[in-house]
Amino acid sequence: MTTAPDTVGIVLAQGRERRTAWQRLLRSPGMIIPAAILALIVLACVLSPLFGLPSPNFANVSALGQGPSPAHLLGTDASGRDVLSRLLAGGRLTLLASLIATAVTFVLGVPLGLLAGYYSGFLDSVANWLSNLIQALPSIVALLAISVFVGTNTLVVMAAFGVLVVPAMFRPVRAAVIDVRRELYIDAAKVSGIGDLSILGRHILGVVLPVALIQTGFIFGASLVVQAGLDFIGVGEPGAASWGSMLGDGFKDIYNSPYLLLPPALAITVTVVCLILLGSVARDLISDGATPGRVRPRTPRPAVTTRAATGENLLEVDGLVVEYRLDGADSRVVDGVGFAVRRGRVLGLVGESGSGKTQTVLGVLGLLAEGGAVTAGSALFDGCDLTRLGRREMNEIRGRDIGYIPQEPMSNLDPSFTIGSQLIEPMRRHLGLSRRDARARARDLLVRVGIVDPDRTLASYPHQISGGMAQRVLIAGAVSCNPKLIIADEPTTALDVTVQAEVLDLLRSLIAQLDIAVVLVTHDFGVVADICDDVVVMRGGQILESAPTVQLFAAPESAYTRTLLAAAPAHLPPRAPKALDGAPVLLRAENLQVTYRGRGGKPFVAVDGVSFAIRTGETLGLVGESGSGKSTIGRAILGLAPVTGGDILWSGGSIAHASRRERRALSSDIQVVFQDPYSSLNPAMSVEDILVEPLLIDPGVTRADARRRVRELLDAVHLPRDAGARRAREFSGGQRQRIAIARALSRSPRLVICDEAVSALDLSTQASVLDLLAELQERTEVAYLFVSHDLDVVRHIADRTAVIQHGRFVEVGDSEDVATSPREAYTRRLAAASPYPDPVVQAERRARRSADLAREVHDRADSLERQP
Amino acid sequence: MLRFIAQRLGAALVLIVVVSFVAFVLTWFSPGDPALAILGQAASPAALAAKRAELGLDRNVFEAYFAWAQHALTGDLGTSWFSNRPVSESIATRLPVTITIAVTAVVLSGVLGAAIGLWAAARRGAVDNAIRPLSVLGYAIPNFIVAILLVTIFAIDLRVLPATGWVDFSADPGGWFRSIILPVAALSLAAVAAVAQQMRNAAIATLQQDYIRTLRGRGLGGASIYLKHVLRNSAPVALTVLSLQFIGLLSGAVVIEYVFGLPGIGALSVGAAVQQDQPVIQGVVVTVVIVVVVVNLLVDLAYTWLNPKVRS
Repeated sequence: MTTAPDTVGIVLAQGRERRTAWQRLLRSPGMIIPAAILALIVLACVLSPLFGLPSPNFANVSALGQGPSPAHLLGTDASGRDVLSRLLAGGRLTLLASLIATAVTFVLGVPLGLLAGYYSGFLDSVANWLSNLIQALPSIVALLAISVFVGTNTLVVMAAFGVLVVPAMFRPVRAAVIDVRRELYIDAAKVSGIGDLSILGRHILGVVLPVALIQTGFIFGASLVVQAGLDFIGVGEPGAASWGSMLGDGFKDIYNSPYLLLPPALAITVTVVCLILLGSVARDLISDGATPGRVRPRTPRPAVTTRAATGENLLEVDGLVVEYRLDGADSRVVDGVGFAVRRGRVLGLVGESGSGKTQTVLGVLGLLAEGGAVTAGSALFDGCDLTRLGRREMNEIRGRDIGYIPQEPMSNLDPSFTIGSQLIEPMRRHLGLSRRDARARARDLLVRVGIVDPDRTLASYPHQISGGMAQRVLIAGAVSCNPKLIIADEPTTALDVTVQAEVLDLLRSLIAQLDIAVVLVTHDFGVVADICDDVVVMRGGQILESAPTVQLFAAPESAYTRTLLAAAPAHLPPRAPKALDGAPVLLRAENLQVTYRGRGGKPFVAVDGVSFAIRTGETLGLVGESGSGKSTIGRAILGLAPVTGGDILWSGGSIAHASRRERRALSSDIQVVFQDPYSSLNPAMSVEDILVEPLLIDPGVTRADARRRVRELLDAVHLPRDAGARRAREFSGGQRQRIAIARALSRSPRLVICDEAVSALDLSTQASVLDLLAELQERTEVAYLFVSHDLDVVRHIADRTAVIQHGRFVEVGDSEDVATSPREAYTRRLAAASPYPDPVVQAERRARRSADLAREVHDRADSLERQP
Repeated sequence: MLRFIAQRLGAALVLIVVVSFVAFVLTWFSPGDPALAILGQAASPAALAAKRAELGLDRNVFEAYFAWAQHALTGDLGTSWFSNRPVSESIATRLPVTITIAVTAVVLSGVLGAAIGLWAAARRGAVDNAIRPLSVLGYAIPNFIVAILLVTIFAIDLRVLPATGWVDFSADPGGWFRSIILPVAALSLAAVAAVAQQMRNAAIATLQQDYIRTLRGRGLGGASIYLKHVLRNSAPVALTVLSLQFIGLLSGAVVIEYVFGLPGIGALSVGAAVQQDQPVIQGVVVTVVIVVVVVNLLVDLAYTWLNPKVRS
C-alpha cells in the first residue's frame, strides 16, 4: 500500500521523472547488446538457405572429420556433413521449437493469470491447484513420459513442454494482477461503474505486459535448453539437424575430436545467455529501485571536540547539513539546522512533510537511508561529536545513551522474532546481563510501560499484539538501557487518539522519573502543546522559528507558524448552521449490518445494526477510531463491502444488493474520495485520461464534450488548466486529492462519500481541501458522508455527527452539540483525549481528563464492591 | 499447525494419485503395440494375443489402473516388459544415485547461494555489481554444457577426476566423493546463481525495512543484524527458490547422468521412454513425484518454523 512519501521518497520521485522506464530500457547497453546478438543469430539461421552452403544432411564420405577449410568454413563432422550449414539449419529447428513452447506458455499463462488474479474465488483456486500440480513435475521426466504418447516429433513435444511451463508465466502474472487489484484506483474505477474488461485493459494490462514479456525471455531460454538437452541424450527426432543432436554427436566422439563440440555448445550458450540477460536486465530496470550513490561521507576522525557544549546542554546540534545522492543527483534535505536540549526537557521539532525534521534526527543518530549522509555541521552529545563517529562507536551509544522511538509500531518490530527476544538482545549487548536477568528486566519494563500481561507479551510475536501495545514495547526498548537522551520520531501519529493520550502520559512520567532529554518530531501542534517545553519550527530543511512552547503559541513570530497554527483542526471554525429540514432524504440506512467471514470460520461483525439518513445538501460526519466500522459503512453504500443484514435505500429504492448494471447507473449519483491520494489515482495515467474515463461511460458523451468538462472540473478544484496533460505522479498529495475530488464530481453526483479524505494531508493542505469541499457543496448542493477519526475536523465541516464504536452508533446529533456537550462517556473520552494546540488550555484539559479517568475507575471499583 | 500438516499431506496424496493416473492413461493410449515390440515382427497373431492378455492390455484403462494401484501400494510396481526385472528393484538400486547427487547439489546450492547473496547485499557497490552478471551467466549456461566443459578440463585434460562411473559410498568413500564432484558441480551452478540472486534481492528488501533501522537504533551491530535478523527474514524467499530448483535438479539429473554415465533414475527413464516400457515409465514417474512431494513437505515445514504467522 502506498503512503505519503517522506523526504527521501520525494527526492526519489524527482530523480525518476527525468527518464521513464521504457526510455531507460531502450537505451541500456545491457539490453541493446544481447538483443543485437540474438537478432544476428536468428537472421543467420533463417536466411541460411540463401548462403549457398552444402546441404546439412549431405554426407560427403570423402571428407570425414576435416578441419576448417574454404569449402567447409567450420569443417565437417564424423559423417562428412558440413558443420556450418548443419549448425544454421539446426538453429532453425531449435529456435522454432523453443518459439512454439514459449508461444503456448504465453497464450495459456497470461490470460489464466489475469483472470485468476482479478476474479479470485473458484477460478483462482482451480488454476492454483493445477499450477501446483504441473509445477511438481520435473519437466524432462514428464516430457519423456509424454513423448511415449505423442511420439518424437520435436515440435509437438515442445508444445507439450509449453504446457508444462505455464506455471512459470501464470504465477508472476497473477501476482502482478493481485498487486494492482489492491490499489485504490481500481476501487475508484469500479465505483465509477467502469466494466471489468475496461479495467483489465486500461489499468492492469499495462502492468502485466512487462512482467509477461520478461518471463517470456526466461521461458524461451529454458525451452531452448530443454529442447537441446532432449536431443543431446538422443530422445529427439533421429537424424534431424539440431544444436542438441550436434552436441550429442560431438560428445560421443569426445576423445577423438572434441572440437566438434564447440560450434553447437557456443551457439546454445550464447543464445541462452543473451535471452536470460535480456530478461534479467529488463527486470532490474523496470523494478522501482533507484540506485543510491555514495555521498562523500565525512571521514570519521577521533571525536575531538572543536568547541565545548554550552552550559548543561546534553545535545547541541549546529549547522547540520544532510544530503542525498540518488541516481546521480544530489539534493540537500537538511540545510543548516541547529538546536539544543537539556536533561529533563522536551524539545519539539515541528513541520509538515518534506520539512526535513525526520532527516535531521536520523542524521544525528547515524541512521540515514542508503545514499544519505551528514555533510556538514556537528551534533555534540555529552561532549562528543556524533557526526564524526564510526559505525562501531555509534553502536555503543545508540540503544544505550540515546534511545530511539520510531513512528509506525507494527513495521518497526521484526516479525520473525518474539517481543521478548527483541527486547533482551540489545540489553544483553549493552548491559552484559545474563539471559535470566535480562528477561526479568524486560518484564519489569513492560509492567512499567503499562502492559497488563507482560509474560504473555514477552512470548508473543509482533502480529499477535495491537498497535498501542507495540508502541509501548518500542518505548520500553528505548528506555531499557537507561538512556540520557531519547529521540522520538512521530511516536503517536499512527495511534488512535485515546491510545495517543495514554502514550503521551507514559512518556511524560518516564521523562520525569528518569530525567531524560527528549527530542520529539511531530506535525501535530496539539502534541507539542501537551508535552514539549521548547519548540523548533522547520520548513524546507531549515529552521524558521525557535522558542519555548508557551511563547510560540502565545506570540508566533513567522507567518508560516501562524498559518500552521490556524490550520490545526481544533482552531478551525465550527460549521455554520444550515437549514435542512425541508430537504428531501437522499440516502437512508436501516439496521445496516456487515459481517465478514473471518479466518477459521469466526465471523467478524464490522457494522452492527446502524441506521441514519442523509438529506440533500447535508454533510453527515462519521467519527470513530480504527476498526470502528466507519469506513465499512461507506464501502457498503458504494457496493465495495457485502451487506449481510438490514437495508440501504436510495431515493426510496433498495441498493444494498444492487446488480452490476444498477451500480453503473448509481455511479452517476453516488461517488467517493478515498483517503490515500497516492493509491487512488493510477500514477501512470495523465490527469485528463483519469478524469475522462468516468465521463465516457455515458454513451451520449463525445470525447470533445468530455474534454470540455475536464477543463471545467479543473477550474472548480482550483488546479491549473494545463494539469490535464501531466501525469498523476507529478502532483503533490494535496493536488492529487483535488484531482480525486474532481473525478468524484465529474458527473454531478448527489452524494459523495469522503472516506478520511483529508487525513493523509498536511495541516495547511487539509484546511484548503476542506474549504474546497465546502465551496463545492455551496454551489452544487451535493451531500457528503464525511468519515474521519478527528472530531475537530468533523465539527468544522459536518452539519450532524455520528460517533461510532465497535460497529454501533454511540451518539448522533448536531455537530456543535456532539462536540461541545457530548452525552455519552465514549464521546467525552474521545473529545478529551485529543490534545489541544495551546499549552495552557491543554494543561487544564489534561488535569480534567485525569480527574475524569480517576473518577471512572473509582466508580467502577465501587460498583464491583457492591456486587454480592 | 497439525491441521496445516494434515492439509499438506492430503494435497500431496491427491497429487500423487492424479499424476500417476494421468501418466498411466498417457502410456496406455500411446500408439504402437507393446506385444509386437516385445515378441517381434515374426510372432503369430495367437502369440501376440496371448502376450497382450499376459500384459493385461485387454482390460479397460480404469481396471488396469486400479490393479496397478493396488499392487503399487504394497510396493509391487510391476515388471519391466523388456528386461523382466521387477520395476521396484530397478528403481531401488538406481534411486539412491540420483537422490545423492540431487540432495548434495541442493544443500551445496542453498548454503553457498545464501552466503553469496547475503555478502552481495551487505557489501553492495563493486562486489554486488560484479556478482550480478556472474550470477546471470551461471544461471544461463545450460548444465550439460557446464558438464561437458568440466569433463573436458578435469577428466580428459588434467585427468584428476573420473569422467564417468559411479562408486558406492560403502565400497570406497574416497572414490564415491571423487565420482560425485563433477556431476554435483555441473548441477549446482545454476541453482547457486538463482539462490544467490534471490537471496540478495530479499536481503536488500529486508534491509530497507523499518525494523532493521530500529534494531540499529538499539545499537545492534552488523553480525547480529545480518546473520540473525536479515537471514531469518530473507530465508523464506531462498527456500522457495531452492524448492523450485530441486525440481529442476531432478530434471537436469537426467541429462547429467547421461554425461557422466551414472546409473541413476535418469538413465532408466530414458531407456524406458525409447522402448515404451510402460511399467518402468509409470514406476519412475510415480517415484519422482513422491520425491518431489516429500521435499515440498519438508520445505513447507521449514516455512512454518520460519514464519510465526503460519505457526499460530
